[in-house]
Amino acid sequence: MQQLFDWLESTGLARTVGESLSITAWLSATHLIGFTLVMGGGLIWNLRAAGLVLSGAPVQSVARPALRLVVVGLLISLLTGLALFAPRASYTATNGVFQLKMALLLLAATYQLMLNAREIPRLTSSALWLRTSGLVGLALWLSLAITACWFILFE
Amino acid sequence: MLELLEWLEGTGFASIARESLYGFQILVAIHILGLIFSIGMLLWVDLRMLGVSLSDERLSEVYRALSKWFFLGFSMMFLSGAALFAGFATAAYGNTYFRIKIVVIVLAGINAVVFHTLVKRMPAHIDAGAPPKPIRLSGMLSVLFWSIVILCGRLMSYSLF
Repeated sequence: MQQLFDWLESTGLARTVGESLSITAWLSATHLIGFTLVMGGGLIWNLRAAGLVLSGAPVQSVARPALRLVVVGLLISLLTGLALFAPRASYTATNGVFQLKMALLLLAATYQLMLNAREIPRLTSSALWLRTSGLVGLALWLSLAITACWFILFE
Repeated sequence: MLELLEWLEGTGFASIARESLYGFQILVAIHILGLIFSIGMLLWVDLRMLGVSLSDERLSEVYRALSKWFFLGFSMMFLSGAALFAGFATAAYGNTYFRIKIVVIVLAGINAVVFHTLVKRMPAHIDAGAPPKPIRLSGMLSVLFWSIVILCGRLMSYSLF
């Protein structure tokens, strides 16, 4: 793994980003836009599932566009995140808060993708299951948002 | 103006952001969480105004259902933003990104008031159907304005501290 990080740090992308505060700032700003899209998708789907918004709307009519927004946001976040990660890959990869952020992102995204693909018909047949899945999803996405803020501020 | 900003920086309110051990970090975290929550939720109203999402739901219903959530986010964002501004008022005032951000927030506010007026006058068949041009324009402007606010907010943090 260390070899991969060393290679990443030696790339032209890493050097360009690492040497320019202006590029880093623009990447970071775009990263936040991507993250806002991800959170917007994750929050509305789980708020709907928990019965806290648009409870009259069919779950799938909210879940489908929410999933699209999560995917678009993830693409923006991952591309900009990789560019921000490259100059300090070895240092950042060993950072506990960064590791927690990545683990929560993986968990929340996997949870959402699995629910969208397989579980919606089963979940919608039981109000309790649906509500529980929404509350679990909300907890995951909010934990991710708090960890992301923690990473920005204390590292 | 400068005297007013210096007075603001000297208040107890301002010292929370500048002098307490974790005050600045906590305020920025609340500011970013509020931003993610408010703009992440408002985006759904904008997408419905553009006619690209939640098209089976009435626009007024989408707005009513989500407004309390994005107003909660905006309250977090504006209160923490005011405390952060008080702590670094003179530096922020001289920052170009901060100035652009404030102008665009005012424009977004005007756009929201215009939208509110349009929705109030909207006949039921438009509320439930494809949005007319003025509504789509208002939705597009909202997405544009809030994207600029996010960009300027983040760029400001790199050029201010």
